[in-house]
Amino acid sequence: MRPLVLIAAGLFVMFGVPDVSALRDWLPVTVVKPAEADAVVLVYEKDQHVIAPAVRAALNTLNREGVLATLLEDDTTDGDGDIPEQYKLPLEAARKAGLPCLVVMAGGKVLRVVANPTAEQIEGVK
Amino acid sequence: MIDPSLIDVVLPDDGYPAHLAAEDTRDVLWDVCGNASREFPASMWIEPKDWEAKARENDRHKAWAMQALDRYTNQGPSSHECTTHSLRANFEAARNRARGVIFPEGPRKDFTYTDSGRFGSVWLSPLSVYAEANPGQWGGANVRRVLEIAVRRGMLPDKVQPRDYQFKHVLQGTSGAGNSNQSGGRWVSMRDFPSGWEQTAKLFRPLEVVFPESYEQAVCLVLHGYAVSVGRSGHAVPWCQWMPDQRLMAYPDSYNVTRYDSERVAKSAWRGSFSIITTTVPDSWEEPAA
Repeated sequence: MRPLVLIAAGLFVMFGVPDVSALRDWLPVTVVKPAEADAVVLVYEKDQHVIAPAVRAALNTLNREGVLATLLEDDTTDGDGDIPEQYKLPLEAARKAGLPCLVVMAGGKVLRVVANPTAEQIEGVK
Repeated sequence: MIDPSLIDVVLPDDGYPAHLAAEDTRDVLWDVCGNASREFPASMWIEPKDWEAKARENDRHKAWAMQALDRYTNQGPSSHECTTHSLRANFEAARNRARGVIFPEGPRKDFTYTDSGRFGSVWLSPLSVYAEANPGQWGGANVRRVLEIAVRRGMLPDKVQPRDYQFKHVLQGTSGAGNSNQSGGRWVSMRDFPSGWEQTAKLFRPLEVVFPESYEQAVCLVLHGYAVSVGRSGHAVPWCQWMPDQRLMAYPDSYNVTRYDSERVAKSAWRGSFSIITTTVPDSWEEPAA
């Protein structure tokens, strides 16, 4: 092994370090993509926040593109009077960030929170 | 231009007689709804001079309560259930709003949106409330009674749904004729409800109900995309859209048709009205029966 390393070192000294960027085209490459949003929830408090028609239309657009896009009034519960299971995480994130805000989710985890989102920001989630 | 025959329609003996309507004052409704009662949110006030612009904005984005509804109901020929049919429209509009879905053309006769099942729309049974509100079947029920029942123990799903949600307990939607999106059937008393029905009904309860203190507040609620249920001329209906050109209130009547109240009638009808702002929602929108 040692003679091979010495030969390689000698070649690098004589001819320089080879450009290996071309290898990317034929070597197998693993691309790590950022997680894609699969759900968003706009959390608000009805006494303080009005939901604009354009915002509701944006949620509807996302729903039709395959993203679960919903509205959550801060006081909403399930039939047992508890915070609905699907909203436990996003509600916690929203309350921490301050209402109204859009909580963007992927695979059951919070990706990011957008304060007081516009319709354009909501549609841009996809 | 709206067909004049659809404006200010008076139906004979429909289930909201004057002696029952007289009990539906704001104070009484506030009391019976208990913890669910809410004042009109100041944030929702819109100056009358701005109503038309807001209505145009709603038109542009299809943001009316009318477009949160995906079906008519049909209590005809006459089942006296109108206050509960108005209640179900009010509830379903609020629930579909929370789901974030818009049905672009609103209710359509003899038509089922494929999106209804896809987006988890649940069709509720007015009869599941009326059977308790008036065990005698005939003569109607007032808003006080039906709202108290809905807040306390909820409504059962209809036997007909846009998708098979695997509900454990369902009931026919009406003892009237029904339609392709609402089951009709025989009158049923509460003792014949399916065993354990309370477990399913509690999943469909109004959580926050606002009682307008003026005609203007009622219009504001409609302009914000909420339904406002009112009673007038012996019949109860849910206002779901305000039309600025003729200043009409449009409502999906419980006879497979959209009708309209003129401003004159609307100004006489807002007392004793209510708007459901939030409802219970499921732990998963995919599984509303769980």
